[in-house]
Amino acid sequence: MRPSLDIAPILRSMRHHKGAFSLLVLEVALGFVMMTHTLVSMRYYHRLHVQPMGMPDDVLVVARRRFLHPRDVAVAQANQRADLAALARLGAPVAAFDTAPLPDAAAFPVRFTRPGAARETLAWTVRATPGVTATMGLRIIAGAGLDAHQAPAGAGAPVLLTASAAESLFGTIDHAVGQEVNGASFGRGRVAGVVADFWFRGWVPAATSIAVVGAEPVTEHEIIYVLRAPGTDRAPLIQAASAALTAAGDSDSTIGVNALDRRAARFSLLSGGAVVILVWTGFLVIAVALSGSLALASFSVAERTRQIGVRRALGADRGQIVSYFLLENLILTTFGLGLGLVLTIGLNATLRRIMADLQLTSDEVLVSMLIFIVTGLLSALVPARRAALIPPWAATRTL
Amino acid sequence: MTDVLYTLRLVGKSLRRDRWFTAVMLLSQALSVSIFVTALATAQRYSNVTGQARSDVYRIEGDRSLALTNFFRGTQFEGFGEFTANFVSLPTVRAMDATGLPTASTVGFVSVMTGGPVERPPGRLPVRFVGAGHFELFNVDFRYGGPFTGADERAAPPVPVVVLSDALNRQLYGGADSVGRTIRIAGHDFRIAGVMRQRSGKLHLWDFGVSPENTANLMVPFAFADELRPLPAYTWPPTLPELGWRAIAAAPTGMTEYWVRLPSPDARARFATALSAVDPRMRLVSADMIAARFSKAPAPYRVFVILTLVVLEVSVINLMRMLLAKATSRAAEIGIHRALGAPRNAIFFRQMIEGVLVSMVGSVLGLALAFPTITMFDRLIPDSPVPLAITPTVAASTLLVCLLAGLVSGIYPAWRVASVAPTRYLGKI
Repeated sequence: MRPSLDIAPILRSMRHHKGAFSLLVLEVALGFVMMTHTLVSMRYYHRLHVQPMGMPDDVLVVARRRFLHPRDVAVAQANQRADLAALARLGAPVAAFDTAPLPDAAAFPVRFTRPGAARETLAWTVRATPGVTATMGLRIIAGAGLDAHQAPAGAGAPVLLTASAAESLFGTIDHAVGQEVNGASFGRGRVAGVVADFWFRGWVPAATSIAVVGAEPVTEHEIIYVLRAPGTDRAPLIQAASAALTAAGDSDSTIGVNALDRRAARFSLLSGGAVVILVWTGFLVIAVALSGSLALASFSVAERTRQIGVRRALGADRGQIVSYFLLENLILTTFGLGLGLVLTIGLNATLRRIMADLQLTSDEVLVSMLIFIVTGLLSALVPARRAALIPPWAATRTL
Repeated sequence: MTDVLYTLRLVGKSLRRDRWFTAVMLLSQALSVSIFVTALATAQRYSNVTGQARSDVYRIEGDRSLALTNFFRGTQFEGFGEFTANFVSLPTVRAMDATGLPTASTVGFVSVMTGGPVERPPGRLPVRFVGAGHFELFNVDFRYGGPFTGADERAAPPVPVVVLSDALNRQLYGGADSVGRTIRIAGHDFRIAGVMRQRSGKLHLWDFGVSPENTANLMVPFAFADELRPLPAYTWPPTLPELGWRAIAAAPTGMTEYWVRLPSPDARARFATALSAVDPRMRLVSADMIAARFSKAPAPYRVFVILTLVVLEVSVINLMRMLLAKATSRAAEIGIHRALGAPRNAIFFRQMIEGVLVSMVGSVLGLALAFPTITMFDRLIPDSPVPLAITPTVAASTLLVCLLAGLVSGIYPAWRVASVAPTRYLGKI
């Protein structure tokens, strides 16, 4: 009578070796917990790394004029006007900004309110000259850009809100244009237009809640310009902008012109690095579990020589012995994954109290399950093939 | 003693007998420990900062912005919104300094200026404006030279001296002794008086809330603020940069931290009363209490520590499985020992020693592997100019956790082999 491949003898064997098998189940469960959360974290950081910015960052050029000695703001603003005129002659869209896109520094958002309304929102402000719309390639959804805006006298600074900021403050985009807003940093302003969301200030929460405020932004130390090149080859524009700013004639300053490089921004380095570290951590879990299982192969076969010998003596062929081991491993892995799923849900609830963005989805669960089933079967294959080589008479040797 | 040596010899033999198996156990433990140590080192950089300021040092704090605190809650910037409480206006600082109650005090704010060593073209230079009191309030250790003094500040004109952070000294001078060299800031030349020693793998208490690219900075006497016209990196509420230094310095906007030393309870009480008269929203918070806020690491690092703890648990279970398999395979040998009179607890003890030994040797290897791992981490995640370090606390915590892990991983296999009757084992011969 050839022993058939049914689950009952496997379950009996498990009961017999319950200590060793329970440990395997526990290891799979904990490994699964680790792997799912490694994948969850990787997804979070990878999303940050590749998030579309809503602006053509690969054609933008950032120029800075740093003053060697601090100077009065009015003088700096006069410098800015001269510089903008010189840069405009290059034919590329240009605007002055209070900070470069993708600044490395975190900043406080500004509280925005509406006169006579309780509703308020937090938004990141960007102070810029009217060329901001063309330079940053902002898509106007409602109203007009700062360059086309005709502000009535005494109406306050013209403001462009992103769709997110407008919806948050007014409930709808349609009614935002022409409305008065108060920004805690600049005072009264009027909404000139609403633009599609873009992502200017790094990777902070609600990064698309932005208000572009029309101004002549300078400090006593520095002026920042952003130019838009006609294509991704930015070298000619960098050279031309550098020459134009140098020729503007302010020798008490230093000029720096560079292509905007998203990959060099801190948020990009950190999120990219985090993905690599997480891949390494996930690899360690697999390596630890797999190396242990493979190293155990000779022991597990030696321990069960008699059992395998009996099965072979009863007519089981080598393929059936291999299948027996693989099925046994599959059952144990399934138990482990079941327990792991419960633990994963519990750990995810804890981690989300620390970082709300670490949301577990079915994708991570399924991918982790697949990884553990495949590595489990691989780790079982070595002892299974070794066990298949045991001859039937081995059963008699230890009886 | 003889028994212990005999046991250790048996354990050694057992480990040598299956060399590859032992190597796999050690390597898997070492790899898990290396990543766990890295996670601990990253968390330690931003936490447990007690002992950096004297016990009678206080900071003046305002209200936290609840809206901002909620805005950042649950993100990797959790706590950033609470920094709004740190900033006080210069008129408040002047009013409180005028009370004469603090035995030492300092402002503290960072501004990005233009400058650098005179030998090189000027560039971006983060500068921290402080009073000489800074070096009296905090336990500052110097790598080279020393601090500037109150006399330097009060001289007319003030003596142009600065103190560099370790990180900036590394960036500008490759870590060499730069004392006596000249650095130019916004067109003014300053002599370097000292280079502060960075606490190993740990952020300075006064650098919390400063963005990483501004942490490698130099300290300039506040007496030079009117000449250098700094633009504070943070103000609360946010203010317009084009107002210029004089307007910002005169405004009621919070723009600087303000630390004071108030040794006597009477001075503290009188200072608190005077403070509430100047601004009822302000209060005194002790440096110890501020340090206690940073007992926990930032959210991403806490998550990382938890995940690596799970890796360590996987390694413990793995070790347990391997020790169990090894012990079971040596059943006959154990049976002979038992038949010859070895008591159960001797077998148990021997197994436990084997588990703990493997775990501890693996952990020491893991600590060694952690050095290249943290170097890799620093390169991949340039989160701070303060390099990660395996501090004595990190090493001791790791070894303690691993000792516990060794005990846990050894206990079940030891109990299993010690609890079975010798006749059962002898049947396997």
